[in-house]
Amino acid sequence: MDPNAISLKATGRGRRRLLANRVAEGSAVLAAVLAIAVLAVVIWSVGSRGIGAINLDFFIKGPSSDFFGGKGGIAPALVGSLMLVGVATLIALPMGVLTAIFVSEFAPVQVSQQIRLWLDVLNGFPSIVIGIFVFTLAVKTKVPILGIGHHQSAIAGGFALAVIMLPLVARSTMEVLRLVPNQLREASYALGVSKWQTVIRVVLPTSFGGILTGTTLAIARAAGETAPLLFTCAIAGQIVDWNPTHSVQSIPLTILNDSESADPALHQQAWAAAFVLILFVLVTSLTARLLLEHSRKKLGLQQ
Amino acid sequence: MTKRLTILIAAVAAVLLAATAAGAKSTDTTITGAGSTFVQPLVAAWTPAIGKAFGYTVQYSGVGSGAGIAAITANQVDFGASDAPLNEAQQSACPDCIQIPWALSATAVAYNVPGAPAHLNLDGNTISKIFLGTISNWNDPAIAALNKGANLPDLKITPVFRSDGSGTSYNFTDYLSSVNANWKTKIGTSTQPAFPAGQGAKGSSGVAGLITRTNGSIGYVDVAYALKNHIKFAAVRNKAGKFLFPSLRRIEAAALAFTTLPANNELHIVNPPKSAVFAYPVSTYTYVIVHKKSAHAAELRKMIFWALTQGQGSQFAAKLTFAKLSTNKKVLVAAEKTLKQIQATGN
Repeated sequence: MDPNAISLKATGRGRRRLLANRVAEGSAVLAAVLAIAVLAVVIWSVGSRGIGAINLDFFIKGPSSDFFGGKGGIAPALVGSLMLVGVATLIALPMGVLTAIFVSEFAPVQVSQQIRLWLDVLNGFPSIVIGIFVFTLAVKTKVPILGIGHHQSAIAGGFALAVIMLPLVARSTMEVLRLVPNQLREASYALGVSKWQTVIRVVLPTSFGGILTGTTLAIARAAGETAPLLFTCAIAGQIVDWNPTHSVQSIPLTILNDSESADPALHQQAWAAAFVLILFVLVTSLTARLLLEHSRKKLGLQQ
Repeated sequence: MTKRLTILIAAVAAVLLAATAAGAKSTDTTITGAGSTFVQPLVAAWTPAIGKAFGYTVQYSGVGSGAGIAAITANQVDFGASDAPLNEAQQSACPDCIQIPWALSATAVAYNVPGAPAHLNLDGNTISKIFLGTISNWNDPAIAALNKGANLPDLKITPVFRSDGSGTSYNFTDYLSSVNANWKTKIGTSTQPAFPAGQGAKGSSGVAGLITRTNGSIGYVDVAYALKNHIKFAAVRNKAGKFLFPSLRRIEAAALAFTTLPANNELHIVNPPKSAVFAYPVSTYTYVIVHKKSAHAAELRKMIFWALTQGQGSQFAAKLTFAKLSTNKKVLVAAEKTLKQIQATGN
């Protein structure tokens, strides 16, 4: 080697700084890996415990009525969760989108700031308190017109879940509406279109992907909530019931009840139900992500 | 596109409202009930048969006798089920509520002791001491004295009790209070007694599960749950001095030993007198609790009458170790008489 060559290896202070850099980078990578690893471990451990119970009967049959044997399924819980989330979406989606439209298109700045703040507060509200509130409103007393009340019902449960979904839908729609370029709005006004028409025909279709994203994320959250259902939709029979004025089974409560039972077959069913729930959350989150990418591309904001 | 979307949303909303309105106003033949886990297997066996006989859909939820009484008091369900009769406070909270005995079974004293003899004898005093914590090991001389010649292991006793408001707890503590004065003053009879020792579990199936998982455990659970989970249960000594396992005949003997019936149907058939030689001492009736004025009065009358008569058939009751209610004719007659008190409201 050429004795006059200059070594590029760091020495002294430079070496320490390089080392510090490497350590920091390493810890950051490790933290990221651990975070993903936790998710992978949870999915794997729930899946491996529950996979034994997953078969066709699991999805299409209810719990076995024979006390001394016969494996059943969680069909009533699947149908019930579907109904609860359906009712919740029907209530939360229009309300959330309209709130976001109000905040981003019509409201003065101070009002929109306040609404954002209080929606964030509602987002962080303990879900069990929301459950008690809906219990007092729609289960303990009779609700006029709709006729529900005096007993638990899927509508009451769906309403509680809608209260939880509302801030998520509203906030994500607000963010997406903000992303719509003002040029589109101005072009629409220049053509003589009224404000409301602009919102419906120009702004909303452009941000449709983002709204769907927010909704799917909110649905993923609502599907797994247990506390609000404890008071509003917990005492239910073990049959598939499509009537929303009745109380219905739901997946989170089935997991709770089955895991406390003595029957090891029911334990496995609880794990399997948890796995189905996790898969549902995964699929909806990934769908939301894909929709977001799609809508971003549409708006010309490649990330 | 937005026009189609609005039409679609409007259509869905209309359908939902129509379904709701239809569901709310129509004569619903869904009967909801909640309460005792003790009677849950029997109600589950009845449900398909009631569906076939009348077309009613029975939705029963085993939340425990205490929660069942609360649910029927608050009018959240059409009927409540409890193994514990309504106490004064509960009756005054629900003045319209009546209780009807509709099934008859027993509480088994189940245990999980590897190495214990196949036939374990226990008596009321020993069981009291175990649950009070004064007897804490399986090789205690008090237990050995009842099981001459048995090889009891050196294993800590873990009592298992119901942590929720339970009619089975009521039956068990009712029995212990009547055989052991110390228990009566210290703990007494309750659906949620303050057990000083051991672990709690929720529901009959929770207790059964905890016993199977804990070596050295002993607990009280409905006979059906002990059988289902293949848990051994003890032979309990009755007043006549016999050590007996619970069985249909022995439960019937306990029911026949008590001939007087108060007006509110509150029955205690624990610790039968000496004359009932073959009675199992920890037997109990279980009640259905309904409002005198009820929206589903006609359906409830039909359903409960069916339960009192055809529901006691062997394909339902005997299989789950429920003895026939008609064993004690007086009780059956009183139950049917009370049933007539259920009338419809305009509600």
